[in-house]
Amino acid sequence: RCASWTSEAPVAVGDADQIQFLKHSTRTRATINCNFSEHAPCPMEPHHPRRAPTAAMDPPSPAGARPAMSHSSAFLLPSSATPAASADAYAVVVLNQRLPRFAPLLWDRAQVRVCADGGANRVFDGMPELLPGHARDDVRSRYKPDVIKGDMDSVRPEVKEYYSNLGTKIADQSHDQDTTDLHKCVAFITDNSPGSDKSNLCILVLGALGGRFDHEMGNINVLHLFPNIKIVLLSDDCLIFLLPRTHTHSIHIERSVEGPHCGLIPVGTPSTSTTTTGLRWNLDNTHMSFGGLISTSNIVDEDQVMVTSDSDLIWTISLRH
Amino acid sequence: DYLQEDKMLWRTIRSMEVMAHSSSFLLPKLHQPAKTPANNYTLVVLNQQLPRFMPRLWAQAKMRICADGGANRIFDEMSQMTNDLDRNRYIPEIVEGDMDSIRPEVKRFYSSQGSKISDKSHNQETTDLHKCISSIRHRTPDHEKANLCVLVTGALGGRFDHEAANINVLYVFSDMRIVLLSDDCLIQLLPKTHHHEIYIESSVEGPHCGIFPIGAPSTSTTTTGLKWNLSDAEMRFGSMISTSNIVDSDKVTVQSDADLLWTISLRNLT
Repeated sequence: RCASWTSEAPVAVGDADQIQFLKHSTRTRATINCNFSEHAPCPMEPHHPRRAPTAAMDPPSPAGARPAMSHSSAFLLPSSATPAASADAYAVVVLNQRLPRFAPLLWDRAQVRVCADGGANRVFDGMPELLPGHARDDVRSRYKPDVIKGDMDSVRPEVKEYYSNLGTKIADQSHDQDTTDLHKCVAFITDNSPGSDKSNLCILVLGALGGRFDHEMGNINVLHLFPNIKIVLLSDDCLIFLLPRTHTHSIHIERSVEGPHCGLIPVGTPSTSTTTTGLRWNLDNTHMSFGGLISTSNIVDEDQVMVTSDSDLIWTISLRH
Repeated sequence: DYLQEDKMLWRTIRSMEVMAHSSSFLLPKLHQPAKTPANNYTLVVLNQQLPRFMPRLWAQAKMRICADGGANRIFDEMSQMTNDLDRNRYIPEIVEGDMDSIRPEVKRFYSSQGSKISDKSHNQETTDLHKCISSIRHRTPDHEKANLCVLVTGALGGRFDHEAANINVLYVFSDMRIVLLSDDCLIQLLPKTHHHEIYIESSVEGPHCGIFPIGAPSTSTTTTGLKWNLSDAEMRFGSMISTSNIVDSDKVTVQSDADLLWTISLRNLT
């Protein structure tokens, strides 16, 4: 059933010409998006992961040694539905792409709002568009960033002046070309947030996905550079965040706003062992890597998804419209 | 001892096979160079808004494949781009995939115009792009494989797990030339098995570029032709990766111990 077990994959051995091709074909023999469902064992290679045999044979789980980290997308719920005891402090960072439709909701939820350079243009133009029933100036003064940060080569001069007049701090960092705009914003927020314990801080980032691919990769790298800070990248279609390998993860699914499509992606390094519960196609001590299996087009089946892995993973889930 | 030293020297100067890359397929048809690294183009259209330079790709390709809802995109958007109301001019040779997004009237139209409808709905294990690449590979005779380049639109943006799965297709089929294109940029795999020479078409691409060790870190990458070149550098997510780099030459070279993803920005093409 796997697409790679089709006749074009060369399997003859012994012929000198084909040995070169076989070396190459080690890359192509694994399926992708294999959903680990009931599979007849593939006749080819033992590399193809199978479902766990029986409990008695389960390998000892290292999960007990790691601290737990929990995740929730409650920030996407309408404000009336917010659980009263939520202790999370939210910051919003807006990068230079079209605002997603829920931008006003997240902005209202946050205690700190930072625009990275041209993100200020997006807030200036986009917030009135998302709230058409209100006067533009009212919207703009209500949705005023606390800080505009970055190298200032994209923000329009009139936008910068407008917000500066309203009290927005302009933090020009054009001298620092070594870090991305998002990196600068995350560093700023963590440096300026009260207390040394950042565990209840959650940074929501708009405009980090899509657009120029090197920007997207730089933004995903920021997640890996700050593994102990909760940073969520959001678009109209989905959200992503890092599951650092140092923790076991409990992801609470808000079914009214997210799902069912999800995935787990080993962007930086392969995972020799990942285990999940709560998904339609769970992983069980499974190997994941680019060139082989990664978990995409999976489905959340329960309200809680648990993930343990020996490698940092990117979790992604679709957002409902 | 002398002999051993000689052997060491031989290992270090032995060069890898060179793989050349060029985005000349983005040039207008009249400006195509006489010789390109690969000149047999197949176009795969996935289900996202068509990039504005789609007419150039369509003209360039010998074979056009719509992956499922990609057929809706050609049906709806192509005539606006070309100011040509005649849909008959843009008929894909093949419509392939699990057929859960293509509109029935679109499927009927292309079927009636001669497109081969390749229904793969029985196979739910792989993405539409994987199915298309797999079929292309199967259909291409061995002696033509080196000359083949698959151009893919609609693979980036949208749902992140789809994007990751599409990028993984580049890794799974790493012995094929596959280029993912969007309005903003293109990406392609630079397999570690080769020394890469990337010829820059500055009228259509650049200057922003980047190189990423997706899937596994690199302990040693060396480049030339970039504003910030790498010299035996380590690259890893969680550490340094090359983003917002700038092409500084007509030719960029890359050699690495890891498979890398190359990206370059595209200029505003119509």
